[in-house]
Amino acid sequence: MTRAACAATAFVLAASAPVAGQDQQRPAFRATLDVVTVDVSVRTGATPVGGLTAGDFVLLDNGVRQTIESVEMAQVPVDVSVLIDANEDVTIGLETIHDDIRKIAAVLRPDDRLRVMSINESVRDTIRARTVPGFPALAAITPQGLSSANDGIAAALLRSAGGERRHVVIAVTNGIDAVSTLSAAQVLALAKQSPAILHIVQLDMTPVGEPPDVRWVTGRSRLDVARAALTGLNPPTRIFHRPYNDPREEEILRAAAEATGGALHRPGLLRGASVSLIRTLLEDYRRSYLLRYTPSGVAREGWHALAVTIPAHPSYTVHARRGYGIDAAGARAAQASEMPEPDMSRVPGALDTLVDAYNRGNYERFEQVLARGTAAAVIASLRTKGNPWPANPSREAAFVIEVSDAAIRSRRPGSLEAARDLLRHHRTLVRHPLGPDAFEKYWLWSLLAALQGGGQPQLTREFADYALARFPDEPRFLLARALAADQARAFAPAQGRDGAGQDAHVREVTSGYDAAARFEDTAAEARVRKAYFLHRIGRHAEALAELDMVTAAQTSADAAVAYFHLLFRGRVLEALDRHGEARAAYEHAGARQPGAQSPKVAVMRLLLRAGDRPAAEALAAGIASAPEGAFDPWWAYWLGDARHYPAIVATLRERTR
Amino acid sequence: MMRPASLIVAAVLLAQAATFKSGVDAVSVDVSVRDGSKVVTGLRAADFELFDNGVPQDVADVSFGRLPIDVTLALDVSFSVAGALLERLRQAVRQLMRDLRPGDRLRLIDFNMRVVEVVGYTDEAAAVDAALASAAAGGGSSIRDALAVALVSASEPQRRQLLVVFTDGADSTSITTPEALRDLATRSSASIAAVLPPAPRDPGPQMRQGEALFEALAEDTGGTVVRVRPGMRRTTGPGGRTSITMGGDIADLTETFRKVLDDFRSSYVLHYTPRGVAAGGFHDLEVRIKGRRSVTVRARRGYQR
Repeated sequence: MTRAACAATAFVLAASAPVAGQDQQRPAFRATLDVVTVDVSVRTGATPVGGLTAGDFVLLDNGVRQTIESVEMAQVPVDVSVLIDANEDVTIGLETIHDDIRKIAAVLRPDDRLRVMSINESVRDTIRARTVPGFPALAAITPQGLSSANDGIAAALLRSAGGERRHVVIAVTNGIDAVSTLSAAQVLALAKQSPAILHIVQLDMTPVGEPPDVRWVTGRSRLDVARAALTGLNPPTRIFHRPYNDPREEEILRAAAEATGGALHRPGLLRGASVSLIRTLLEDYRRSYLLRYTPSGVAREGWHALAVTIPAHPSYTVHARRGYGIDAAGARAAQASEMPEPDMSRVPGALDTLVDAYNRGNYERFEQVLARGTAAAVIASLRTKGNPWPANPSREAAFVIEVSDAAIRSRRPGSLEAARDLLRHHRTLVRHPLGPDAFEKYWLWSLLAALQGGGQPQLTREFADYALARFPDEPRFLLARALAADQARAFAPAQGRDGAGQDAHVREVTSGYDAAARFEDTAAEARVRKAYFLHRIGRHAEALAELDMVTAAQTSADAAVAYFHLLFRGRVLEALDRHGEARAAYEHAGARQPGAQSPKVAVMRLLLRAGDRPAAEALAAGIASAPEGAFDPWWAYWLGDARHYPAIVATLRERTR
Repeated sequence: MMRPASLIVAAVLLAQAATFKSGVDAVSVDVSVRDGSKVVTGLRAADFELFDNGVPQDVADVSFGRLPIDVTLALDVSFSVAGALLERLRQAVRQLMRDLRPGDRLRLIDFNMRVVEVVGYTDEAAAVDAALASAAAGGGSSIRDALAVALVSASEPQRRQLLVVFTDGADSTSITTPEALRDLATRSSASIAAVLPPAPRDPGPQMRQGEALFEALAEDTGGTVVRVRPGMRRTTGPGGRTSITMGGDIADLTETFRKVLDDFRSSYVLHYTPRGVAAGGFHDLEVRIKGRRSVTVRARRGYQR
């Protein structure tokens, strides 16, 4: 028998003084002294062993042999609480949860009860405990929000099964907690004192790293890290929910499950044929022995390690919980287990945490909290509570940019709109009474960079228009507006566009870039972007003329612009059938950005066209085996000034301290 | 030896096909023949009419199911296939691996913005499994760049080449233009099969452009475009970001991959030595079955030398 297939529990009855009004809630077994009941599963192979008596068992409590007062092999009803962690990080596994619930229901008996709880930032009873006949269908579960897995597991463990019923908690989670008020260690302490058996089913987890430094991360986390690595724009701390997740927490949760006689399954238990494991688990639980004893020769409070053996039958597999705890907190937990099901309150918002981190200059923490998808809630709190820095409105304005940036990037419904409304509100608040000033200009630039980075050309255009109304000759605002106009039809095919609309679009984009090209700071970038636009609409000669106007000196200050200049030169020359020159331009671009993929792909094609297949094949092999993390600025071409965002925000933070 | 990229070329092949002898470069063409949905089998060289740039050619040899297949699977692991779909994709690929016959091999290329060969040609399921387990989705899509790299990668001329791409078709970060990719396809021996998720109600310009390109590539290379039946659901979130989730069973995707492989396997390979045509440039191909106008013949449109 596997350990996971066994179930056991201990009821710690800290009931020396009966509490008024709780008699009906108290288990049927009473004593004037503390009495301990231990569930013990005994199997030989896959078969439960019956017919054992007290004399067959040896029970050690903290190493001291105890007198077993009674043994029952009971068939007791079971409460099963399935806790579903439906946070937005869970990308794999929940698609089968409805079937899994049905399968669990199918193995329950008529007097068993099933409860479904779900958690993200809050803990909810999705379906309250009830018997299986007539058990309602589980409504659709949409993973969203952040995980309060620790709080949820604690809440489930605190649920009373009532009477002689036994309680199994199956927590389906990726195990990465984001916003719980309880730590994993506190859950472990609670588990040690809970009569329930806890099984944790970890979903969507992938090992990362080499032993002994293996970490388990979610698919979403891997995705976010990969995206961050590839775009190079967003350090993992900006969008990674638990960038420095402590792997020890998972081990603590494993210990919590095992302390109750359960286990941590990674992954499994609920998937496919493994449902039979649940059946075995419940059967074990129902058919286990109840050993009762009154502890003697050991201190009452503290951790009690348990060991149960059957000396006459050493081949039997005996499974019991590892121990139980009694202390002041433990007594309270035991009492809590007798209480009616509590109302689960929502985890408090993160605004205070954010403000605190911001004040202390702990931007790493600040970004971690924001990256957890709390931005929309923070915006709501901010609008309700008002400026956290009443004496420093600039500080609030800087704070608003960063919160809005997180909201724009968030996938949560309503986040983008919340950010847009907040920014519209604050763009008037940042105005100096005497007229446009440097802070307002810098603030507007930072918000445009955030909008470009979030891939929001329409909003970029709206705010660029506004910024230009305030600062008509600011070149970066001119460039932002031109790029937004360009992006509006970036992926539409050149052919088949409506004639008049196309003409107007071309005029708007080219004149926009021309306006930005009047200024030294943005001349090179504006011309390079205009050239790429002209190339895309088939005006290659004009595109080349634009590129020819850009000097190396003009691009020296911005590596990305220098690279685009050479890359687009290659594209344009290739379109003009000047393949030799195109290849040279691509090779120069590759020399500028050695990790970039695009120039290599372009050269590979040209080599093949020129009949040099071996060289082309060698290049293809090199591309497909490039080191992870290689970045191509071309991939971020449409994100505009977002490449400057980290520097802009750092300055904004400093200026508003 | 001359290396017409579009086709399996000769010298090595000649040594293997006893009935096909020639002192000059030869060409092999994959040809699918169907009567309705039924594969037409039992055809011989004499049953085929093959025109190279309009000039009739002598088909020296025909093989059916004899040559081993190299399958390159290019999987879009961009943001739009994150989540449940990625998991379904993994399962479908595992099944595809099991569907290979002795001698066949599979290569796995993942792409989002980056193009990565995660497993080179192999017949070991464990290697593919390990690579699939670590696949994670995110970022934009360099679909055309990925296909370009796959088409240019070295291939063994005595093996048939099938390039299967799974993607939503919306290219956002390629440097390779559609025209350049089509040019590459004519220089490669691979047939291109595109497996696409169900079309959204209102596909954007990128997606429409992508689908049109796949149709053209399929025609150019004698390949196919298959849309997976609904069961997957595409959703558009804030900011216009799209994601795809699976609503049904994985059978659709698994079966689609299997069908693509079976289709390719049940094709004839015609071998001939071009005569009466210039060696260089683009060679337009046309293949017919003598006396059977009702059957559907699918072959690549031509090849580049």
